[in-house]
Amino acid sequence: MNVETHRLSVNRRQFLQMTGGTATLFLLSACGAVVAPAAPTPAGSALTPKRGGTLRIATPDDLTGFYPNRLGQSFTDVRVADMLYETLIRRAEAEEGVPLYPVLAESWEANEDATLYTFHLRQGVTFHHGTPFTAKDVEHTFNRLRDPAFQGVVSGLDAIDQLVVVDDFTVEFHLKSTNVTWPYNMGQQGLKIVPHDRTDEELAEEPAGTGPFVVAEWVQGERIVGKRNEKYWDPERPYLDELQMLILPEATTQIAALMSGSIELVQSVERENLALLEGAADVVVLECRQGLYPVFAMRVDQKPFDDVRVRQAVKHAVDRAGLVAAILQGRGSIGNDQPIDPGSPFWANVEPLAYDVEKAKALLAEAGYPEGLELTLHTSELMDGGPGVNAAAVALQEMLKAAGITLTIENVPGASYYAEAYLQVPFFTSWFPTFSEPDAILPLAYISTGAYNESGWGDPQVDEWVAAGRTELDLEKRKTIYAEIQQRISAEGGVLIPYFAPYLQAASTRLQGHFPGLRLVFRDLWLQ
Amino acid sequence: MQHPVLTPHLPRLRSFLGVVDPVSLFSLAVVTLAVGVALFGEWIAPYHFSAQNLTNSLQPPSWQHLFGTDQFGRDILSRVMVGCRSIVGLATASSLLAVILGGGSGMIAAYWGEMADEVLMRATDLLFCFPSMLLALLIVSALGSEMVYLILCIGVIFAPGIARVVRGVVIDLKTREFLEAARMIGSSDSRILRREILPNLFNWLLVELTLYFGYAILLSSSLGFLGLGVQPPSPDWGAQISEGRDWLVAAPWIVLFPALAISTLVVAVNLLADRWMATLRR
Amino acid sequence: MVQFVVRRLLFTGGVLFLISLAIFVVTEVLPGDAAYLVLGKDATSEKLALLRSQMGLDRPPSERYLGWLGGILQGDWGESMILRRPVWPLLQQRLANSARLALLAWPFSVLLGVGLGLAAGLHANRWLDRTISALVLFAVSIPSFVLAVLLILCFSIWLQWLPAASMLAAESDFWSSLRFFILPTLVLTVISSTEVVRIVRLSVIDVMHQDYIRTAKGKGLPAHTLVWHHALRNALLPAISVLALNLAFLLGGVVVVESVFAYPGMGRLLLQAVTQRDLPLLQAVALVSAALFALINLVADLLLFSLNPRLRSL
Repeated sequence: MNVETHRLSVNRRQFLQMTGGTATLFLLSACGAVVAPAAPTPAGSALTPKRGGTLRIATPDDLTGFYPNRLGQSFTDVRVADMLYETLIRRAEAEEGVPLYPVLAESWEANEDATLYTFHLRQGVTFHHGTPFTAKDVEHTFNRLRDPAFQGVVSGLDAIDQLVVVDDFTVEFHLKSTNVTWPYNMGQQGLKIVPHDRTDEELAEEPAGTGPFVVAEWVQGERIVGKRNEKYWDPERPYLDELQMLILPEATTQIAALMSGSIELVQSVERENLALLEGAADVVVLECRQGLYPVFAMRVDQKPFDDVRVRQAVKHAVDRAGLVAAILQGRGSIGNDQPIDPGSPFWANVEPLAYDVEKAKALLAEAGYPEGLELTLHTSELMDGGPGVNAAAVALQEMLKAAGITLTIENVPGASYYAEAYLQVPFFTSWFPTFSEPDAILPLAYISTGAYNESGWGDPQVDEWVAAGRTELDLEKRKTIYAEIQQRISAEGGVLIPYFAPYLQAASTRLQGHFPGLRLVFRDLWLQ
Repeated sequence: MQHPVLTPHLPRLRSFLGVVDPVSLFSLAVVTLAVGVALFGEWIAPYHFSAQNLTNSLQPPSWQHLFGTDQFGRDILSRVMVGCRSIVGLATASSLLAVILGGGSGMIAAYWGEMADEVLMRATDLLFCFPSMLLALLIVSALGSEMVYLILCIGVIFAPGIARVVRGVVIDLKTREFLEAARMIGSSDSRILRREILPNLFNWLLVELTLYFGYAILLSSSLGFLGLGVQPPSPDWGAQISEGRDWLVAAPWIVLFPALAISTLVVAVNLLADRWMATLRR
Repeated sequence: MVQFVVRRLLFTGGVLFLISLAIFVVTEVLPGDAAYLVLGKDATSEKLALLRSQMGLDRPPSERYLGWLGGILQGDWGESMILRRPVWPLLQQRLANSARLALLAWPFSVLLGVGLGLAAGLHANRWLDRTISALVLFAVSIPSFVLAVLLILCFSIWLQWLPAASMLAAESDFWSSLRFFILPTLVLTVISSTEVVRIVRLSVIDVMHQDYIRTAKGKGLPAHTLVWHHALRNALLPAISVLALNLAFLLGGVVVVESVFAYPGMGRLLLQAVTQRDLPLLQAVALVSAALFALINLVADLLLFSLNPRLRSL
């Protein structure tokens, strides 16, 4: 057992103690849930973390600004926010069982029916600009995010009935109804705590969080450099003196830099480059539990997708295994047109509609298209950074042709995509990250009123189930509910999700303390 | 741009094409091949350019697939062959447009001089102030990547260069005795332009056309490389290289063959232009 | 003399004004909307309207043009829509990066272009000339991105000698950061020296046939005196405009090569501004690139004027 897992098990035990009577809450690993095999960590040996050093990380795009509470316009925005700010709880999507770690909240507990959550805040924490962290900052952060004028989506906050500051280090969330996923929800990236004495404009100029690093330099288009926060609340952490995020848009460049020892981590490796990396010395390829999936949304309120048979014909016409082999180079799993991936403990292993061209043709004929069908899929270069969406679209074109569907791919410029195509045309592309907690995605994208309900599909029964899943205290019952939902969306829903693509990362063997996942835990990283 | 060194009697087209040496033969053969493939590529290609075979992806060159296959198991040879049409068509149309625009305005500017000359030459100066890529990016993103707009864009970018050369040639021709003679016998301007200047200018225009045909291939494939060229499903050579860049390590042939195709064609075209230019100067 | 300079300056001023107008008009008609790009999936009509008015997109175009031009004259280049920060520091930084690359590639292209051009011209139609001309023809015919991608394949991936990108790490010393410049400099030198070779070669051939050179030859002056004192000077004059254009191109127009090597210069900033429809940024980058072309051209013209005795006596 290495240091890494040891540390995890301690934390998991602490977590058990903290949550006390309401241990049913998102304690997946304790319940023997189905979990994908754990990815190897680069930390192969039992070593004590070493202080010092500069970690260099490749990042594919530039920072667009310092926005602690937005999802960010760029990949780098979110990484940088993670470096500077902290949430109350950190949910480790990358780790088996998705443990929740205390960060700015030292502990938390719920009442009997999970309608009232009390968070005990960490003492002795200061923001980068010197203001001490108290309950006032938590109150300020949440009030700001709940303001409808706020730009950016943070999900689930409408569950709050009342936020009560009990004392300087205790906060109570009074919820409108039973909510078993509240602590998990508190771990979302957008819920970073900002100081009450700084406005958004001030923070965009000069970030001030409680995070392990402070910004030392941002050279637009080149790099973002973080220096160790000497006043960090954990005296041992962070281990690194400096953190450099180097902007390298080209995948090949990132790989070349890693192999030549110019950087230590590539956060997302294109499958194209695996062959090269796997032969390289001092480099490990890491497969994350977390990943992305492409969404091909079929608007159910427009022809021809208003007919469920047409949607099913499309689903039958797709060779999912072929896509996994060609687009993912075999590194991924087939999807079944619903968003819960095999890495989630709630995954129900619903068989996708079978790859059956004859069935697809028959369904089309039944729906009134015996001669086949012409479709236009709108996509954009914006999708290039995702899980091979555009490559999958090209492959789909050929697969659908066999079923008598002529697919035209319309490439919309990025600046026009959300204005002219997204949600408006019958067939368009999108992608999402996987969440192990179904409640993190279903209310957003699969209930009738969801903000990201891209296909416009809605089923009152599913809406009811989603609400029930959130309020059900019993884990096994929750699993049953979510299995029903997956079954229903997979068979009738308006999206095609042909595969799940776990993130692949590549790191230097010098990098330690990194758990393969997209959300980097900067405070734990160190270099050998 | 070269400053033409003019000789009084320009050779006729026959002697012009009649340069028989191995290099010219090679170039002519390549250009003929390219035109042939552009016209008939779709029918003589061994596979359909978009036919996929996911179980046969990223295959190195072999007898079944002479140029190998890409990520989707598509035959690269067939894609290069079909991609030839759009690039040859685009380059032909846009270099023709450039010659018509540039040649016309150069001729007018030089022949009438004064006001016309001042206005047209200042306009070309203005266009010259824009780096060609900046101009191309602005035009293509304003109008879109449809074939017509690409042709228009490249034609407009190249016109000023041709205008300058043609203006030089025509100014030189104006001083010649035969024009003086024509004017003496009272020929109209348009008759002089058509009967005296255009025939003498013809060979120059042909050289410019050839030269700019090559430039047009370079510019349009660069646009394709940046993702602003002819849109899929048409297998554009520049776009093929840009997409294949991701596979540079695992499957370099995806990039190598279209790259080879562009370079060979442009080399051949430039060799031809070079030879013809040399003949003109002789 | 004075008249020529004044006319040339006035013309450049006029050109700059027209350029600004042209850029503004073209960017105005660009389809797509930065407000949508900023909000992405979260675009609701209220949020869009709010953001548009924050960005000043709801004012009439003429008002925006005058405001923009007036701002630039006062040193205010506006604010990037996407990055939400002033354009000028960004532009300055990218221009400095492009200048760094240009300062490497331009002198090389001058040396290489003039050297090869002289060698070819002095040995016109002999094997050296043929070889050089053939090389130039090949260099002209290979698209810059093909050359760049092939070099990356060779030197970065197969041989692993050189980095594939111009990564500007924070604390690397001069020599180690120089490695990052080798490949882009190589490509840029090749593409910008070809035209120089051609023009120098042609004018050397031309000059060597001039009467005064023949006379000098007849007088028995040694060949190298001839070349250095007469031919070189006169042969270089026509190359000045090309060299100037090259410099302007290197400073502001290297879109393709900069994007292959992911080099944070003006060219890539331009591409980014175009694809993101970041109008203030696009207008600023386009204006600066075009102005650079106009100004460098002006300098070249004045230089030519002062060097050319025949023009000077006008």
